[in-house]
Amino acid sequence: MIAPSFYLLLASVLFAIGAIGVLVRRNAIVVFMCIELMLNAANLVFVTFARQRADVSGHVYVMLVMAVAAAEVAVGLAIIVALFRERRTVNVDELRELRG
Amino acid sequence: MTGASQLLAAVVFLPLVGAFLLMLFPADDHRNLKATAFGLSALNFVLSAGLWMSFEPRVPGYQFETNLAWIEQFGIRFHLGIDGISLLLVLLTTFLVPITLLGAWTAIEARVKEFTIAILALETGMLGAFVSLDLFLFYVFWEAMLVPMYFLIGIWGGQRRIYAAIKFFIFTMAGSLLMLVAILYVASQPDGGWDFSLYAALARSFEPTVEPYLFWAFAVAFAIKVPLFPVHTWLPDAHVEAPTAGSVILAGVLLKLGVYGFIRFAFPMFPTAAFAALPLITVLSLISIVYGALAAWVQPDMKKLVAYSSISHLGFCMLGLAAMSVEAVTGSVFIMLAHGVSTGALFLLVGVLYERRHTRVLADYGGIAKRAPIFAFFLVFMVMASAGLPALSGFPGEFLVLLGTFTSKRPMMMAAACIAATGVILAAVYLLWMVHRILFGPLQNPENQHIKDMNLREIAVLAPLAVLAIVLGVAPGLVTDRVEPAVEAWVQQLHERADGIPAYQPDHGALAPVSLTRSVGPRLRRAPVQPVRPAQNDAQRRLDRLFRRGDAQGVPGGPGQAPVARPGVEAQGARPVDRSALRRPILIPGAPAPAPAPRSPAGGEVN
Amino acid sequence: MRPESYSLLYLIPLLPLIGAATLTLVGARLPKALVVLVALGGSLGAFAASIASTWVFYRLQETPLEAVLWEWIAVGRYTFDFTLGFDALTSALILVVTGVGFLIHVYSVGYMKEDPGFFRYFAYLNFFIFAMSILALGRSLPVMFIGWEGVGLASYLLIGFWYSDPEKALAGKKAFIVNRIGDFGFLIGIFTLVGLFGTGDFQLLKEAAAGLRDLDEVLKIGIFAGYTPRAVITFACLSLFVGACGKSAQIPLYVWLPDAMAGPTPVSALIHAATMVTAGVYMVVRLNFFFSPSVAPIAMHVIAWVGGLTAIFAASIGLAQNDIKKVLAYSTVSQLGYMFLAAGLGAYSAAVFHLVTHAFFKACLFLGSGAVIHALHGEQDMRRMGGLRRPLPVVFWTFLISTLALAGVAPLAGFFSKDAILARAFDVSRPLWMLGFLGAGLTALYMGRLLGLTFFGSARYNAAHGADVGHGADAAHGHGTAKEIHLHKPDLWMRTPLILLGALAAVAGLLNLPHVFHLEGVAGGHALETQWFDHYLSSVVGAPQVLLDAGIEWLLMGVSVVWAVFWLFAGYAIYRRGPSATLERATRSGPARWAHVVLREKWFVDEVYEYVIVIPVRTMASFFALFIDPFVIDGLFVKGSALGVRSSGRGLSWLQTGNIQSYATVFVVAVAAIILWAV
Repeated sequence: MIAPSFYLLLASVLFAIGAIGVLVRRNAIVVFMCIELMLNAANLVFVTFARQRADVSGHVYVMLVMAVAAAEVAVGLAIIVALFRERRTVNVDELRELRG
Repeated sequence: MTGASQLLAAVVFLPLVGAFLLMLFPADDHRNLKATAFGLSALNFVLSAGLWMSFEPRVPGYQFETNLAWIEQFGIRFHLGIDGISLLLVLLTTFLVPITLLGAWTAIEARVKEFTIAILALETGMLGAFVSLDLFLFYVFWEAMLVPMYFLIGIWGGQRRIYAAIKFFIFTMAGSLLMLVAILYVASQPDGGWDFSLYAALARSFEPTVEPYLFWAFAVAFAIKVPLFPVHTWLPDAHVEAPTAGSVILAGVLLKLGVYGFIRFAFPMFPTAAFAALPLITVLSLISIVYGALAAWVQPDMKKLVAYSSISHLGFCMLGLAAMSVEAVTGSVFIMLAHGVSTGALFLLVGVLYERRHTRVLADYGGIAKRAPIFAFFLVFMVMASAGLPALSGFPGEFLVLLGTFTSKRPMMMAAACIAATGVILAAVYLLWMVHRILFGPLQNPENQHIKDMNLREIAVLAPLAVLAIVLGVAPGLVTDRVEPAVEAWVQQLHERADGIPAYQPDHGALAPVSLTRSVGPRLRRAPVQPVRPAQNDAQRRLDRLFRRGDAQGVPGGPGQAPVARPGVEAQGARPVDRSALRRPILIPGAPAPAPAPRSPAGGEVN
Repeated sequence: MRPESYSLLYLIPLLPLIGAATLTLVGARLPKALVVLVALGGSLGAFAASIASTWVFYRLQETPLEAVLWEWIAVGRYTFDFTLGFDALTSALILVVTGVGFLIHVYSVGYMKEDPGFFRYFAYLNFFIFAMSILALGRSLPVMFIGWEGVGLASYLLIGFWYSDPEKALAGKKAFIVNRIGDFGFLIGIFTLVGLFGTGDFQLLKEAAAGLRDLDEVLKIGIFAGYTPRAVITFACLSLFVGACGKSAQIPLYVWLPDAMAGPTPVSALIHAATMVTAGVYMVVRLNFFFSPSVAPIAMHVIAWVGGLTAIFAASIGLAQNDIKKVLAYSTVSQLGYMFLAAGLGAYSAAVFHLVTHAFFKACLFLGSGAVIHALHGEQDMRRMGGLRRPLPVVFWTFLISTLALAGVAPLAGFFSKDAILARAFDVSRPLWMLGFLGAGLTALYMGRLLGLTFFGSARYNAAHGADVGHGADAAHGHGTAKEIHLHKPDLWMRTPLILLGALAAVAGLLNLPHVFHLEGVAGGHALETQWFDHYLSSVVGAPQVLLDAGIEWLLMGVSVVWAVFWLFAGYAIYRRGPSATLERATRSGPARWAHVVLREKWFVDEVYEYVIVIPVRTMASFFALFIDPFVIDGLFVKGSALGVRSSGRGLSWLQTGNIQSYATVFVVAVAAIILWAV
């Protein structure tokens, strides 16, 4: 059996890639994908601990996260598409209407 | 819960029910809207007159109590009750609201539906604040009042109405948020639970380090409402911009909530801090009296003039509280009523002129008396009432406050009374100045040539106020009989609770004649003072029955008169005083007394 | 003496109050005859009730009467009943008030006949009688204060009766405000006495005063602990005297009375000569158990000196006035000074006696001057009168009698009352006597001048109107500039009161003949009844004292009669041909000119008050209202804090980049930091 620490390490790496991607990429779609990456990293951690502690509630949360992520993709992509139609760009640097 | 206490709740919520009822009316049916609103508020006055009838005078403590569970988890209860002080303020409110509505009959033409709804909602807010015995409930009403008033100024106001409305709102809000924090602190119990009832708050004593902060959090909220000197500037603006109806209610009732808050909450909950703050409050009230009067004198705008005069008058109220004697505090409550009557009337009179000429600038008038003698009569009459002419409503209050301040045992109060008494001179100065500029002199402005005198409706609005001004001035006992017991218990309690000063001990003056000192002790249980008075003949007795109150019975259960032996006038030293006669069961509920408020016998008999 | 209950006392104020209320509410719709009926009914009813009360009082062996009507203000330690009382002093004042008041009501019917504000005038007049009788009857300080301020209101309304003229309305306002300054003192006095004795009731205060043992033992209890009773009572007396100065027009608060002449002349006669202005004297005498040389000597010195100085000061101004009513007004101020001089010396009954006689002759003088003004269609400048002796005989003779009475010529009323005062002053304090004596000379001089200018010489009223002399005319009578004036002769309404008052001015001295008149065998073998009035008042002010021996008293009387007649004649002789050309030349330059200007301009007191008090206070008020409020409080604190909030918001808003990634960066860094800190 592979030790849980390997799964956790993989999840950390995935999360870090996702987080850095969110912070540094300018393309909204890429940012969006990176968020998915972070969600899945979290899922992996949930599953790991569920397995280790023999507790199904971890799996339940994973299902929940996946459902939410699906909904989020639907809404998020719709927003991005709408934005693109409006502004002809998905570069987040150019979308700064909320600047104080 | 008896029928009598349901009456109180009915008085409080009838206007709100009415407001909902009015929402069902078509918006353009002005006549019926106004008539219904007026009818409802008049009905409410009749109901509150029922409170007056069944109120047991000469009894301190709350009557008509309603105490229902509301939000149990947080110790919030629906707790209403009135003592003599709130009874009169409730009556003042229910009296002024119909008058205001009648006075605004023709002045408000736009959004009549919203206007009537706002006024009725406001009435419930004000009444609720006067009768709440639960801090949370009080806060709800206190804030609920703000909204209709904000709209009254902001929608039906003058040129700079938005500025004035926002200024009013923010000033009040700033204070009340401080109060909210303090309320939360007071309501959170040491064991982690919550109890918002006033009784619980009165029973607690706070850390000496915390108490001043709590006191000032309340005091600032109330001082803004009063308004006391440095936080008064919202008032002239609000008054100038508000429609007549708004000004009448603002001056007549809303300002009193500030003083009322000091009496009901700030002082009794934090007695030690309150006593420490008395010198500052005294100074601020003196400044308010003189400053308000002087500022009123040079105002070119008559509404501003009356607004500044309110600052001066309310300064007397606060001085009375700071003097901490029964006379002065009773006088304060009396001024609240008298000021509601006279200043309300003055604002209505200004409104009468404004409706005709659409200007409030004094310089635009002059010589009006020639064209409008009825108006002139009412203006001079109300100015005299406001200036404190004896035997009109302004006098007993001012007299009691000044006398109570002068004879207060607190240091420097004699000087304070002398300074405050200059306010009496200044009141004549600025009020007669206004009368002179409006009524007298030649009728030069051609636009005033055809000004119409007051019509029947306007006379009907002002006549009750004029009658009340006379009644209050001639028979102030109607008010003081009901207020004094509550005030006396209040003063006693505060003295006892603030740094352990023993029971407030009345003294009649170092050289009072023997016949007076027999009646030492609370008036509550004192047989009627019988100074050297001969046997009365029949005509005299008949007159007595007409004019004097039958107070010979005293309160059931109370011991009789406590005669005090006094060796003679020449003995100026310690006068033997029957201490047991002075100490009596604590009657303010919620103090560390085991028994709750003694229910008045009348309370149960009503239904 | 225990007072006897007599509840009908309330009729005295009630009847005129009903009259005033009726006239106010429905007067505008009533026919003139009914207005007259109501108004005269109110005042005559009060007079009748006063006579009845006096009769009852007399029948009960001069036992004081009282009517406890209701408990007025009763709070805490203090109870103030609405009690009316009636004793010898009250009866003296109330009979004068209602009696002279009724006569002046009658006179006014003729005088105000053509005025459009007829009903309003009588409403005010009836209200005045009401308030004045409360003042006289009130048996405690607070009840007295009701009347005290009530008469102030009546005076305000009546002075500004012709309110279309801003000067007149302003005069009313000035009267009310100056009186309010006095009332401030009165209130402080009330508080002091109530604070010391626990009551404002005269009966109880008197008891307490009688019980005082050691006035100089420091009090140990009460709010005045640390002071002696004498100090406290002196303070109370001085405060109350401030009130008296306001109401009775003494230095330094006399300035309103001359201006008060703006009112209709009958009002000047009733309120500003006979009754209201004597309220201060009444109050001092009423409280004589405190205002007494043995209890509060310092206060009594102050009162006597203020009275004496006012007497001579006002008389000096009266010398140089040209308005007939102004001369009489200053004369009133001066005579009130005599009353205070007497009261300050402890000669209470002399003060009250002078009050009574002065009410008669001064009311008569004012009504006479009113008849003159009425006859001349509103002319008040004496330089444009003259020669009225023949066309107005009734006015002339009553005026002459009253003038002689005022000047103190035997055997008219004023002689006896003034002599009583001067005799007392001579006995107690020679400097004060000198003041009074000089004042008497000045009085005679200006009255001689007034008589000469008005009634003697040639008629100057037909000459050109509109010269630079003179003041405004009574608005209701002002008629333009007719060359030939048709004299408006007084009708029966006006003549009757003049004759009655003139008669009273002549014979009222009999009420109180000096003790030296106690001569055997003069009146049909019996001794003359002397000092009747002193004895009558003795239940209130104590038994009369005989101080001077008869020889000195006779001498003083002789001297003062000669002195008065001399100056009276001097005034008459200089001015009987009209304004004196010789004097005019003499006062054109040098110190005489200055003296004349100072007197004519009333010692510039009004100007001094204007620049020293009114303008600085008003400037301060403007400073508060126009600087402190908008700029310091609203500007610095209110707008300042608003600005602080807004600028800090603006300052922090750069953090709000709108870039989600910068927010996320902050978030991640913060989370990392927290994790690091936690671990």
